[in-house]
Amino acid sequence: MSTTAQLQRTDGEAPDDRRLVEEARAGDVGARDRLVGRYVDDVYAVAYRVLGERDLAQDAAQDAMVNALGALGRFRGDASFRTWILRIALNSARSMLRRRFRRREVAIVAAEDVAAAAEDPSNRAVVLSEAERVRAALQRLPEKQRLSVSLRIEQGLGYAEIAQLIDSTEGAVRVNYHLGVKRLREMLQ
Amino acid sequence: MIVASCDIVRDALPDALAGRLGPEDTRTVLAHVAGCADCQAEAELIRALRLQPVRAPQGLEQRMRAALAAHRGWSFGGQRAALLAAVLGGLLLGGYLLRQQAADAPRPTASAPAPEPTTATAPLVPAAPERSVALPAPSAEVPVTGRSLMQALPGTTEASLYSSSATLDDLSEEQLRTLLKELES
Repeated sequence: MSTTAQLQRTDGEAPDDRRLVEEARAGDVGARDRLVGRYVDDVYAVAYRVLGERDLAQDAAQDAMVNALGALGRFRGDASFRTWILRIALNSARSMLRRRFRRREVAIVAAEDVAAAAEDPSNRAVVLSEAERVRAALQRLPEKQRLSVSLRIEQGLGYAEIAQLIDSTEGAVRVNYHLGVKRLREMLQ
Repeated sequence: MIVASCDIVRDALPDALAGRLGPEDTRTVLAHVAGCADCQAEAELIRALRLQPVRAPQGLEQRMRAALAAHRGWSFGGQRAALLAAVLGGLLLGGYLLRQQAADAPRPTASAPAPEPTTATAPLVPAAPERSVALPAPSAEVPVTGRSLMQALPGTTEASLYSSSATLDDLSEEQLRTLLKELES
């Protein structure tokens, strides 16, 4: 017989985020640059998970960072700074996606570049590692499942934080996460 | 040691594998995984995803700093100046419009407006999966199963249930828990 375990996760916010934000607000360039260094990977990762293409993700990530750190007065502290900046990254990427569809410039490629190269029969030298296969499969999930899985596993956010980020409910995020994981396992069998 | 069920463990697996749980909870999760093939497979999937995290390309951080440095004059002192200019501009424009109204000048004869250009706007890509659909009102007395969700949504197949997740936000917590149990069984 199993019992419910009280499993407590630790808060993911870096302890000195708030201090750095206050210092950056006051004009401390060093504090602002430390925030850039701390969140550049996360911001890019979220943009990449939405757009699926490296160059677009870089543009969206740069826009997001400038929007966030260029206007720190908008950060009110309701959520963690990390959740706040990731939300800006998500909005920036989605906005870029909408602009690209409207201009008919690009059909978003769901699979990763390496996976596409590996599927090219003339490129037999490229062998995907298991990790690369998993990442490529993740890109093929529908957006909400993809984001729920990526934000939970890659960014380490809890369901409540993810719900705040993607304008969903905690329960729906949880279901999307488990649906996404189940789908990934089926794709990788 | 507390014995945890699969659903609890799978919720906690990302945190356990990333070291975000306390030591005792981590032991609980890993002990379960050691004895459960299904949860073991899920743990391997999570490890594979975490093995090669998505990293920003080289040079992006420098470009961000440069963009912020160029942006800095606006964002700190200049922001207030921009706001003041916007308020003053709005007041001037408002005053001008009021004066125009008060003068009640005769309107010139308007020429026929140029027709708006019409362009074909067929989407390049089919509509995103997350389109809204009319759902039956959530009811705690009507359990939602994958099958019932498919029946409630015309055209929903098992494949599209996996791909169309916008409907989940409309379900109650009770219905979501039922769906999750069915998924895990």
